[in-house]
Amino acid sequence: MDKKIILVVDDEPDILETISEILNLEGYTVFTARNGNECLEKLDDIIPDIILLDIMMPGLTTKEILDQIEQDERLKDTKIIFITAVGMTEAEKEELLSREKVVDFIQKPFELDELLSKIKAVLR
Amino acid sequence: MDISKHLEENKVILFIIDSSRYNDAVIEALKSLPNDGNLVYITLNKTASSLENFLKDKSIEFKNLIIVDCITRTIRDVRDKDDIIYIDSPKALSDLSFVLSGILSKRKKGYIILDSLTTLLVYQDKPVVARFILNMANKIRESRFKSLIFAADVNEHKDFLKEIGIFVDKVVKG
Repeated sequence: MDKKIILVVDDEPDILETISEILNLEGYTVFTARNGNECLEKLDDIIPDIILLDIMMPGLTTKEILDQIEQDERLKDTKIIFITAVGMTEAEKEELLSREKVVDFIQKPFELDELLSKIKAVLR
Repeated sequence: MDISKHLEENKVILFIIDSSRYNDAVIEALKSLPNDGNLVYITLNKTASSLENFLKDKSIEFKNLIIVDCITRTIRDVRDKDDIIYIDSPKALSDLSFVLSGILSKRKKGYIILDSLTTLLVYQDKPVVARFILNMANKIRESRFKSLIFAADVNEHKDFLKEIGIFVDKVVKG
């Protein structure tokens, strides 16, 4: 069976490195990007099963990234889990979850077990 | 953290707060402010709705609070309301500066909260943020407003916060 591909997008190098290591150990193929622009550049070359996308990053806004991903037909099966340190209401999260590609949120700081279980749930 | 004394003597105060008690310290500081309908809250780490819920949870209700929300429009489209001004993104410091100037000229006196300086550093380079804070501090000094700038005490930004300390009237650590 092909290894599942995960693109991790976060501007904090420590987080990027830690998540990548853990996901690699779990058997996923992992790509990383440090901001929205890098994320979109990577998406020219890969079609991930899941994008772990930080909401608070330099460069493109979350809305801009999401709009572009949604328009890309190649990414029709790609799902997004938001990683966020931003304070949002449940209603605002629900609104984002109503977008087809957005499947879950994870609030920083988070336990890696929590992240892994969310990823497994999405890929199931 | 009772900040009343600091507010009596200074116009622009930088609060450098341990990350572990950041929200609690912000709440304590807010509770020290007069509730006279002249508070403007610039939020860079919570959406306006989330900030409203946060204040409500802490039993804080400011009369005629104006929120300048730099986050929501990075996530979704939203229109300005009477009491909420939406900035497209924390990157849009010229827009934020413009809104700030409008508030200072229209509302005559009050308090400007900036929450938080360290979040701003996610979106902008340090020299740009430093220029913005210097500009903001100068505008506040020329007005009848006072300002509370909050920052999380993180190792990564210690030198920068020291530099910003030169632009403000008082640095309070808590």
